[in-house]
Amino acid sequence: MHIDSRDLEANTVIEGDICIIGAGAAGVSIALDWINSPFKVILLEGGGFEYEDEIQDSYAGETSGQKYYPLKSSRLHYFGGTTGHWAGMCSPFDDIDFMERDWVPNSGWPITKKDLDPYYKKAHETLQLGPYNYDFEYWQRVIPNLNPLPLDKNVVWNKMWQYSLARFGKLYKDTITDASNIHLYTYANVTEINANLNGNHIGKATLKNLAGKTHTVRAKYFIMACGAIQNARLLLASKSIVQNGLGNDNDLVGRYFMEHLEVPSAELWLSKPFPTDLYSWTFGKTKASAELAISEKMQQEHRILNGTASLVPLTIGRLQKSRLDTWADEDPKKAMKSMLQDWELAAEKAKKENKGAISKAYQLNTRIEQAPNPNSRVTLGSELDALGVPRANLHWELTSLDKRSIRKIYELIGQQMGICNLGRVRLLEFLQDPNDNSFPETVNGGWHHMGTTRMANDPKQGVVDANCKVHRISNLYVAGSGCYTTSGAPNPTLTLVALSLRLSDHLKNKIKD
Amino acid sequence: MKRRNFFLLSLAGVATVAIPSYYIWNNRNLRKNLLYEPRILTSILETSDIVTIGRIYSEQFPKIKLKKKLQNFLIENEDRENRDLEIILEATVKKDFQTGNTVVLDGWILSETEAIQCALFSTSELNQS
Repeated sequence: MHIDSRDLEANTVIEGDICIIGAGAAGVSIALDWINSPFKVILLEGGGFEYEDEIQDSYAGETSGQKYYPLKSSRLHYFGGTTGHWAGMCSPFDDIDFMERDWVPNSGWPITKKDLDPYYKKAHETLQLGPYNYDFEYWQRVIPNLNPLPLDKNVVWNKMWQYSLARFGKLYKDTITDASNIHLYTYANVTEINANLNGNHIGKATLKNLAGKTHTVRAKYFIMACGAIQNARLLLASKSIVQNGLGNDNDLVGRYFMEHLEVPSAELWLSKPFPTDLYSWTFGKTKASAELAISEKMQQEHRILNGTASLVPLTIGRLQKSRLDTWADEDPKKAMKSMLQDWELAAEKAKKENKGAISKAYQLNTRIEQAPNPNSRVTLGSELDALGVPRANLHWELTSLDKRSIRKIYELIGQQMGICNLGRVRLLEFLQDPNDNSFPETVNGGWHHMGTTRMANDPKQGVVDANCKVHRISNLYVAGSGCYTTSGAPNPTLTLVALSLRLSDHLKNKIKD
Repeated sequence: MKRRNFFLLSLAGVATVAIPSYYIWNNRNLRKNLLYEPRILTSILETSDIVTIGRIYSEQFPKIKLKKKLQNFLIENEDRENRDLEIILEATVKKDFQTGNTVVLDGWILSETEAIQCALFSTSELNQS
């Protein structure tokens, strides 16, 4: 069922069992899981079914610290959320990502990979992926010419990826709107989550739209699924009862913002061609491919973060501009267009240079978790958006562990290439001085927002518990990558869908009681 | 003596001297190439890059220490047959990578043996020619 909240009479009270705030990957995944249940689910989307600039504007905000993309264009604000233009890269976190590592401050989830495995499998259905199998040997049997570089698996291994083409907006619109127990409200922006006087129970949420109408939602359970930045913003802005914002007793909401550092870091020069399809990816065609990943043993031995390296032909990689330069527009459609144009131009120019030694060389691009850092954070700005909610500001801050880890990854790959004698690795300039902990402005993020409502058993260490419930509030939950305690190396969507489905299961059990 | 016989005898004389000389010269150069040129780098880098790497490596040491390092390397490998030398150098480079005996020069992650070869190359006449 679909209702445009602008068409409702002002001050309508909407009632249901579950209220999901946000209809992106997390929110839609949970809603799908409740179809045909005896419970009434309210699914709230701030936008409509297509991109509208005045709706998108509520995501605008200032950034400081390490250079970052414009916040307005770093997510999509309509039904289906950022799956509307994502690349679909999926790979599960590794066991080590959930563990407490004494060399990574504030690491250690209250759940393990095993806890998520059944939900990863289920998330594969939602994301329309292949089997939940990421063993290289399996894919080597399924797809021809996945010839691996002959590296020692105990040091560098092939971490597999699968690729989803699921655009939730188009894929699930009819399923959601046809479901009798799912009540999708569009143009329904939650401007405050209203707690009781003790601040430990949510009675209602206040909705507003640009038509000037205000409505109220009452539900037994509320799930915030607006993305890591907007979830933190909404908690901080919900301060009618609790001055510091909801769930923020320990000043943790918005802190520990993490991104994946995605940055060209080194070059791999081969002495002879190495024919393989294992490390290349073409959007819409490739089913599975690999990146070079660092083993748990090596991470432990060298006290580094978890990360991978992808291979791009050097002739192309060298000609691509930093994404921070091409993705500079506030309008996500224009930003995307500019980035794709740059990639096309680089590919075209590269054809002319593809001869000699460089034709056998690759750019090695890092994809690495960011060390949890309390100073990397989302706060409220002084400026209000059109609905009167303070805008989110982001201060993105990296640490010396991030830098040292990237450098070590390429030293290890460089050693392995030396041992097998296929070629040599060259560090890019920003990694050449081991005493330099700074990052150049060209360090890209992956548009992956994580950690702002981190998970921990101890309320002094995290905003939500192991079930994604906000500490000290009986019926408020957070879905999505904001709950990540650490960020792993893979893109976050697969894991956030799995985590959301786990939360969904938890609530199903709870609501029965 | 007929002109034809004279010509053939002269040619044989020249060949008697030239062929062994060429062999010795070529062998010495090949040997020098093996010692002075890190094999895999010559297939991926320009001569000028190898010279740069060699110079950067050399600058890390006082002149006397560098000289000793390079001399030791040459003495160690002096009596080896060319074929053995090639195999031994490859094994040494591999061992360097396995044991972490590596250096980063101009961003390149190299075995120390390769770095010494680059240093020799940067000072050799192979590089001057």
